[in-house]
Formats: sequence, structure tokens, C-alpha cells
Amino acid sequence: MSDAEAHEFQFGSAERQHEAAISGMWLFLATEALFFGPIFLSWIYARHADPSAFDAGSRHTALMIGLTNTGLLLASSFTYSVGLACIAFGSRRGMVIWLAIAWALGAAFIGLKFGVEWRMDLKEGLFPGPNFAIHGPARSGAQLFFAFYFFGTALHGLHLVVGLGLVAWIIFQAERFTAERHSPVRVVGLYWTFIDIIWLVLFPLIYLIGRAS
Amino acid sequence: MNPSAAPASYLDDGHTLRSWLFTTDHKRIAILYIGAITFFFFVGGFAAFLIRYNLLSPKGLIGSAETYNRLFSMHGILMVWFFLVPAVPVTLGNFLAPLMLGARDLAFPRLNLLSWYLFMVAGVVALYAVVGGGVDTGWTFYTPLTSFYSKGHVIAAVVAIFIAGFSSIATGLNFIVTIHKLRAPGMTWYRMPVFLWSLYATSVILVLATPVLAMTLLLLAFERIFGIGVFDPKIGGDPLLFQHLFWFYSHPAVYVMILPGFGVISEIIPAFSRKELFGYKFVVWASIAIAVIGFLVWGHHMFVAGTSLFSALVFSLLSYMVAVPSAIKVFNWIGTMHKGYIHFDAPMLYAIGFIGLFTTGGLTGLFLAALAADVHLTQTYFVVAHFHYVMVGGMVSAYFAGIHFWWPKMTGRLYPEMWGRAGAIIIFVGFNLTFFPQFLLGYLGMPRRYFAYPQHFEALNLLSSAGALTLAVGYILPLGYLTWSLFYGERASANPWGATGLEWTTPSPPPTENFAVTPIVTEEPYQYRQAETVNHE
Amino acid sequence: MTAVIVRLVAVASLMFALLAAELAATFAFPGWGRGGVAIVAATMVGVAAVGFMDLGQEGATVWLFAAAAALWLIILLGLGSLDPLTRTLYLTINITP
Repeated sequence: MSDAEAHEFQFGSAERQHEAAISGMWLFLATEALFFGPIFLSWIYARHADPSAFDAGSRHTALMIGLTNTGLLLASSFTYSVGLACIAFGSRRGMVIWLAIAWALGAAFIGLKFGVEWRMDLKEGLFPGPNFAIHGPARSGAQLFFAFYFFGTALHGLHLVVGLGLVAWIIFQAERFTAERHSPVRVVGLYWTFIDIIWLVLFPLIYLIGRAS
Repeated sequence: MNPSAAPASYLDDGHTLRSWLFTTDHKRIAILYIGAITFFFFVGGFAAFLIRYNLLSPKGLIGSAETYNRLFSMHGILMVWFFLVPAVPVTLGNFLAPLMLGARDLAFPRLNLLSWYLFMVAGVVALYAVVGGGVDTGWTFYTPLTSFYSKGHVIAAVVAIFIAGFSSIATGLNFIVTIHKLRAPGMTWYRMPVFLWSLYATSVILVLATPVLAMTLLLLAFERIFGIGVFDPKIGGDPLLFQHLFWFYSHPAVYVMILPGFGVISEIIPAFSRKELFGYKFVVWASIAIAVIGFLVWGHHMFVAGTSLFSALVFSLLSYMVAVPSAIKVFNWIGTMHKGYIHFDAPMLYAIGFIGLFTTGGLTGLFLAALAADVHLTQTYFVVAHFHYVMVGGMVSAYFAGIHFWWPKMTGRLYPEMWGRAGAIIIFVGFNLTFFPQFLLGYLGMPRRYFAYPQHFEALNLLSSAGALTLAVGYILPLGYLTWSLFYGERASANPWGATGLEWTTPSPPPTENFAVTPIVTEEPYQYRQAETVNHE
Repeated sequence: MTAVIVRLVAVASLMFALLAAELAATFAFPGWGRGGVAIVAATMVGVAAVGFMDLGQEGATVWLFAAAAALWLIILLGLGSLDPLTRTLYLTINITP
């Protein structure tokens, strides 16, 4: 491969291009962190308005599914990292296998979250509005909780779906990557773990804090 | 260099529409952006013109308060998100950042083109929103008006701003990574022109504040569509949360609308005073300080909204802090001009106007940051005058200053200097005539956003509307003579102003790859020598 | 290669252990209350960033971006919640139609 093909024309070297790609992704993730900021702040506001009612709403969530999903995402971050290590040591086959596992774990999260958990929630009448199933003094606060819950999980799910697309794109392009040149695998890996990190914050806000103390 | 051996300029690198619409050249994208924002500037300006027309008479001349609400909302939305926020970064910034760094392009050229397309899609949706029925909420979209009661095209407007936001994020991200990773050999951080530092500070705000607005607008859209959400007071939600989130973006966005202007002025003042910029490091760190402190002051927009007294006190105190770096800059510009060899060309006239108008706007901002004074002045024309002094008197002046200063570089043609000076003076006079009476109106108690007003405010309103007409002439004038110069203007040399900076070392207009040989930087910026005269050849 | 895999297995094990600790803080140690959950969750975020995203091996630029994200989130959540946490609520009467 000639030097001209090794990097795009605006960069002085392939190394510079790699650095730009990695730091660009980190900066994008910083914007993503701020993107989720209002959701976290709205949790603080909503819970502060009536803590006991808000927590009562939280206790209607399916803890086992949430816990399983957390496990799935942790495992998929791990398998993706193993896939990345594989390509760094030159094993393209290993990368494809481990990334496929990571993809499947992510897809399982989506299936469990929206196919099973949301269905259950909706059937129980937990979507806020006139037909909201929880009555009594906790009704308002619980509605506020479920407004947060549906909005937050939908947004996180959307990011995960984008992540699934990106991982699939890496798998289909596996031919391109070598031990020396695989910046896109690393960049997508950063995004993939970041989705995990967002969930690591959402999980306690949704399932645990309301059940604590 | 032998002219026949010189590489073709970026303007001659393809003449088809395709070569423009699919370009990844930062210079061509800048030109595409100039076309787009000029269009939105005049549409938004037309709305302003109708507002001033209506206020000619105490009873209102356009007949309907509903229409009036839609007009000022349209004016605000278009001017903020489709002119002021993008104005300097996407045009001058796009064009100049790689040139000033000694780079061939931005770090992510395709992302740059994508940001233009996002901007255009957002613009079309915004036009649909304002033309197909309009929005009557003001540019601030406060809940619960927007979430439950407004009958306008709120969702369309929100979608437009959401998309435009991602265009901003892409642009900001591109600039930050480019400045970190694509500096030419020898271009250390402290050898960068102040314009690049301002662009960096602006990008920090774009990248870290815009996502918050985007999510806030999504929460608002969710609430409007499903009739339920976290801002809904009926279930214990807090409408003030919307205001907090909105101003977390929109106050720093005010600095997005002025920081790039600071950068432009910091280039022009030394060039036309033939002197080194006074206190370079202070100017640089003042930009960064504004970008950071600007995030700590948003609460001063909500003093009378029912926030807690304690938080209002904290925000009031912090708001005073942000005035310090702005003042540092003003003193540094004046220090640069002091004992300089000043040339009053059009860019310098705009720059001098900028200093006066921005200082007025900034100082009146302190009145509004003071808790007690704000209670009297908030929601009056005093506020309108204050932010127009900063946004229009400041940023629009800086934008025009920059466009004139770098016009020879961008187009390879000189604009007619006499017309340029006339335009700068007309704009300065027209601006003050429009907005100074509004300070008086506000102090006397005329509320903003009202369709009609009591008889005794008529004289000042007449003055203001007359000023708006003058201002309109001032804005249309450059549109005319700059377009004329594209075809008939004198050819420009590489460095017609005798200015420092890498962008002036390459031909006007620059070749597609910017520099035939990657430049090596060996000295600090702004190495002007007093005795040199402007070289007009 | 083996060293990298061993490290990743260690990181993943630590994450699952922290998840268990988070559950313990919720259900087994009510005395810790919500503070315990918050501390464990923050630790998990840090471990994921360093362990899976290799933050430790990145240069100053990446650290700057990561630190900016953290600092700006603190500004948003800190100054943002200042108002509701210090607000005086006056008694209002709710009339349902």
C-alpha cells in the first residue's frame, strides 16, 4: 500500500488520522453524555417533587428483566473488547466471532426490553395518561416516574439500535481491517461501551433507587 | 511563482452544480453556507421590518395580534438558529480555520458537508413551520404554553431546531479536533491567531450545550404529542425545569453568537493599527474563560420566574464574573489601537463600531444581571435593546467586518472601498437609531412582545422604526456592491491588507489544497511593524 | 494476547462484582441507602471507561474531552438542581373540576 493511500489527504500521517478518529469519537461521546444530561436532571426534579410517590412508581418495574439486561450489556462490552483485541493481534476471524456475539447480546437486550418488558408495562397500564393503572396518592408521582421511564429507555434503546447497525457494519467490512489498521473497530467499540455506560446510570435510577431504603 | 505553474484556485476546480453540492472542500462549503445564511438573514430581517412597521402606530398596523406573535417568533427563531449561531463559525470559520492552521482541510471533510445538508434540511423545515401557519410561542418555547396550549406548528419548529443543533455539533466537533490535530509544524497553541482560539471556545459551547437543547426539545415534543411529561405541573412536573434546560443551552449560545465576533475583531484591529495585539494571552484566555463561565450564569434569565431566592443570588453573582473577561478584551483592543498607525478602511470602521456597540450591550447586561434592577427591567424593551446591541451591534457588525476583511481572500476580488465605508457608517447610524430609543422605552416600562402600546410611547417608537428603515438600507447596500465586485471588482493580490497570518501567504483565491508546500511557522502572530504601510497593489 | 484477555476477564469480573454490590446496597444494606447505590454506579462507569474504553492509554486530548463531559454534567446537574432544592413551597389549594 502506497503512502498516499494510507491516510486521507488532510492528515500528515496515518497515525495522525488515527488520533483524530479516536479523539473525535471521544468528543462525540462527550456531547452524547450532555445529550442524556436533561434526562438525568428531569429525574432529579421529578423525584424531588414527591419522592415517595415517585419511588412507588419505580417499584412497579420488572427488576429481573432490568438486571438481566444489565448483565447482557456488560457481557457485550466485554466480548466487543475481546474482538478488538483479536484484530489487534491479527485474527480477523476471532474479531468477527466475538463481535457477532456482542451484536447478539445487544440484540437480546433490545428484544427483552421492548419485546417483553415494555409489553408487560403497557399491558399493566403503566403508560402515563388518563388510563394510568396506579391510583391513590402516588398516582401523580408514579406517572411522572413512568414518563421518565418510557422516555429514557426509548432514547437509550434508539442508541443501542444505532450501535447494532455500526457493529454489523464493522462485521461486514471485516476484510478491510488488519492488525496495524483498524481504527473504525476501535471507534465503534468506544460508542458500544458508551451505550453500556449510559445504561449503567439509567439502571439504578429506574430499578434500584426506588427500592432502596 | 510562475503563474502558469500555479495550481488552480478552489473556485476553478469544477464549475458544475455537482462539483459544488458534493464538494468536501472546506472553502466551497463555506461559500455554500454564506449563501444559505444570507437568505435566512434577509427572511428574518423582513419579519423584523414588519414588526417595526406594526409598531409605527400605538394601535398596531398589521391588524392582528396573532400575526404579530407569529412574526416576532419567526424573527427570533430564524435569526438565532439560522443566522447568528452559525454566522461566523460556518462561513469565515470554515473557510479560514484550515488556512490559518496551515492545514489542507478540516479533520472530517465529509462530516463538514453533512453538517451543511443538515442545516439546509433544518432550514426547509423551519420555513415550513413559519410559512405554513407559524409559531406563536416566541423563540424560547416556554412550557406549558408550547406543550399544551399553543396552536402553532410547534413540532415542526422544534424538529427544525433539533436538526440544526446537530449541524452545530458536527461543526463544533470538527473544529475542535482540527485545532488539536491538524496544526502545521511550528504552529504551537500560543502561535495560533486569536480567531482560532475564539473558534475553539465557540466550538466548546456548541459541542457541550447544543445536545442539552436537543434533548430538551425532544422532551417537549414528547409532552406535546402524548399530553404527558416531566414539565407538566398537573402531575407534579416542573415547567421551570424546561426554562433551566433551555437557558443552560441558550445562555452559552449567546456567547456562541459573540465569541467568533471577538475573534474577527482581534484579527482586524492589529491589521489596521499596524501593531501587535496587546496582551495576546489575556485575550486568548478571556475567550476560554467566557466559554466556561458562560455555563454558570443561565439562571439570570429566570429571576422573576419563581426560582428560589438562594439560586437567584448565586446566579446573579456568577453573572457578574462573566463580565470580567469580556471587559479584558475591550481594554486589549483599545490598548492595541493606542499609538497605532490606524487605517480607517471598511473592516476597521465596522470593528470600531463593534467595540462601542458591544460595550454598550455588555454594560446594560450588568443592569439585568443585578437582581433588583432586573425585576424592574425584565420583559421590557430594555432587554430587547440590550441583546440587540450585543447580537446585532456586536455580532452582525463583526460578521460584516470579517466578510469585508477576508472578501479578497475568498473571492480574489477587491470590494469598492468607498461603498464599503458608506455601508459601515449607515449601519452604525441606523442601528443606534433603531435600538437606543428601545432602552428608553424599556426604562419607561414598555413591555416587549406586545402588539399595541400606549400613546405616549409613540415618538420613540417612530424613531426606532425610522432607524430600522436606515438599517435595512445599510444591509442591502453590501448585498449590492459585494455582488457587483464578484464580476467587476479589481483582482486582489495574495495579501492586499499587508496583514499577518498564514491565510495571507497563499494566493487569493486559494488553491484547492490551500498551500503548495505545508508552511512551517517560526514566529508569534501579529508581527506588525509600525512603519509599514498598506500595500494596495 | 493472553495478557490482554486476562485483563479483560478481570475487568468484566469486577463489573459483575460491582453489579452484585449495587444490588446488595439496595436490598441488604438499607443503612447505606441510596448513597451506596450512587457510589457503586459511579465506580462502574469509571471502570467501564478505563477497562473497556482504554481511557488510561489515551493522550491528553482524550482526557480533556472526557473531563469536559464530566465537568459539564456536574454543572448541569449541580446548578440545575440548586433551584428546586432551595425553593420555598407555599401551600396551594387544588380545585379539581
